[in-house]
Amino acid sequence: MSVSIPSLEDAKCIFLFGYNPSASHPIVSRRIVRAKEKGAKIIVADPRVIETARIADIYMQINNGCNIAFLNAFANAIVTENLHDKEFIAEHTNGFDEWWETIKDYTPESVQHITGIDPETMREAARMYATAESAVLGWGMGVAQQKQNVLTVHTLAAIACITHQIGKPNAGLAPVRGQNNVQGSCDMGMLPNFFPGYQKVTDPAMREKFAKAWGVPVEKLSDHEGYKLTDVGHNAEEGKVHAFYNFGEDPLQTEPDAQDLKRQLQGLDLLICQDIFMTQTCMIADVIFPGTSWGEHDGVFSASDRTFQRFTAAVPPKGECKHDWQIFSELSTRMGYPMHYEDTQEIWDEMRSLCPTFYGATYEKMAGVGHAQWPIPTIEHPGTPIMYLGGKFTTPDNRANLMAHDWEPPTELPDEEYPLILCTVREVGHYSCRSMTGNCRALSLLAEEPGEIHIHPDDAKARGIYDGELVRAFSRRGEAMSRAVVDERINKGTVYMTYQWWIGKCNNLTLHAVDPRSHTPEDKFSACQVEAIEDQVWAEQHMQELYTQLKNDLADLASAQDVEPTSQRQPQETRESVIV
Amino acid sequence: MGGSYIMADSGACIGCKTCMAACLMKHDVPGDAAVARLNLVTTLRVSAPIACHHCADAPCVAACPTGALYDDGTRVAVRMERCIGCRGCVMACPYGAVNVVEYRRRSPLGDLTVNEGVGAVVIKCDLCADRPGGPACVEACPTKGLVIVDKDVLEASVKRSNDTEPKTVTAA
Repeated sequence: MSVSIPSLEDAKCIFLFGYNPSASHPIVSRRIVRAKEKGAKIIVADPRVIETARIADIYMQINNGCNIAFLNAFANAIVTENLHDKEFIAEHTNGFDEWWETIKDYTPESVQHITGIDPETMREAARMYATAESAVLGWGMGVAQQKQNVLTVHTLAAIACITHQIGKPNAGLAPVRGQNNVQGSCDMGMLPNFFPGYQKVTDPAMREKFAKAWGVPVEKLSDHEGYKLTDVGHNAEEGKVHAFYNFGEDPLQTEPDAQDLKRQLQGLDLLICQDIFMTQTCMIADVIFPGTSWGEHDGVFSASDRTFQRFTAAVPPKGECKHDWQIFSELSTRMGYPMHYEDTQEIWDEMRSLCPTFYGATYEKMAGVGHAQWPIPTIEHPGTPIMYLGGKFTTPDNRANLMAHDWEPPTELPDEEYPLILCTVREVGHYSCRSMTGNCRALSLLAEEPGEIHIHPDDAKARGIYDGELVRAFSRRGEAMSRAVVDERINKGTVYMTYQWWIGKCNNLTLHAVDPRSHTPEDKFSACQVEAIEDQVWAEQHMQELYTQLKNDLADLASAQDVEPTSQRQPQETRESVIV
Repeated sequence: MGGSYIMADSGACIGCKTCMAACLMKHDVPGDAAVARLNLVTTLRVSAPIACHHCADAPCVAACPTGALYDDGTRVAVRMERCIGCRGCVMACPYGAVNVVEYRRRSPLGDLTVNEGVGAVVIKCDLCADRPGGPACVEACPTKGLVIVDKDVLEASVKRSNDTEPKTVTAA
């Protein structure tokens, strides 16, 4: 994000678009509550009455899948009311006239049937955002996991640029990461197109630099972009990918159309999984490398706002477990490239020396509860809480390029057979694939299998579904059993499932459709149907049986690494409240 | 009259259930039931955890046939061992803040935990009476949205109401 998370508290206006901080980042949510207490105006546009919507000055319950139509109309309202900053546009942006050519047709009235928003309310929100002394525009997976995700980000950025709500204190863009330390993974080059520090693999000068530092011939470093995670399945099926080294992910839980993905991954010649718990993906792996968890290793996390924070180990690794960096080093050595590091600081210092943007982020600066926020190019540099100050952007001409796009409907629209829109979301008590939080006793006692499917009261009534009952949800891809929560906070015709449940696995239903640029799946929109289950007693029993079976299968496989006599598999009774 | 109770500010509540996790963990000890004593309730425009009001004339106490629920002068307290799981209290509570759950009675025996079969037990807020820092939920709330309503808070509230013009006039 261009702002820092603490600066949210000092913004005069916060506009959340497709982001539910209460469920995904409660600590950010707390800052928004504080901002409100300090007098900030809050605007929320979301298809659900999220917690922040309740404290919003203006809340717009948009239709699912309308993003670009909404934002184009929002931008149109700003310009038609002459609230754009002409001076900032002239001095710091390119392409306004061309941008307006697309935006001019999107009046709030013309897209009301797509957005579901009353034009006057939208105009009021546009005024509130554009005229605020400082405004932060925040978004999350409600933008990223849609068909037109990258295009929506272009539009959001353009709105901040034309109103000069970027490039000044307490104002800017606040896209959040969906997972802890995704920012760090990207910063460190765990992307198919970048070396660490966002240095392109297609740039010969970068390849030269890294080859020299690592002591390898430059031809050994790939000169083209690799495959993204969402491409692995179909590429395995087409014979383009033969081996998959899966590190700290459970794609059979978290990726769309999970059953098809399982079939595809089973066709690989080699599947390696590196994880701290037995997961469903680990179960089909050829080789499992047991890693260490937070608390067992040292390292650096990056927050969504580019802040590096160092953390230290509290306890040593157990049994056969090794630190991730040690596993990588040993594997590399055995594959013919001897790799040796004494500790994480040696790795970090090597990385710093190769990444100009991170160079000043020393371990010393991050000692204790210290932190370093990139860009931080020199040792003396204080870090950069707010980017693009003074309207100086990181493009070759330091100007922002305004981009506008036409709205397109989502890929799979509801029809007679599958009349409901399925949107997958997060819930506060469980993280990602649940391999970690599911092993936390308090969290698993507060929320358990098969998870919930939120359904509008009208849709529940039409199907004879009562709150708390087990139901069957299904799509063209597959099905899952879930527990109905009748919820008046969502749009009629939509259902919401959280994606960490094993028996109530929403990714059995979701559609594998990715956008052409980022290859992010369209997790927020697919078509499904939900039906009541007549025999609830059978359903409860069946669900428990499936769950017990899966837990036992995972525990049986994991027991191979029980090395101490005391850690042998426990008798059934004392294991009942733990997952593995 | 009556003791103190825990009240939530719906404007500060972010629905994160940290209060419930804190409550559950406080009670996750041998001889107690690992269940949250307060529950997040959400309606279209309100989110707030609901907990026992420790009513001065508590309907749950009146409904309890065994004295498992009783007024100790400052709060509505529980004698777990007396609960027979009849659920009269659940029906009587106007807030839905009392629950009866299945409970695996366990007791420590040296390093071991001994199971003593399954029983039922009434679950409601005990104000963490035995916790030095006071109620765990109040301490855990990330937005400081939970307050202990005691005599002072009530008196201040009465004073505020008396000092301000009435907002509505009820027709006779």
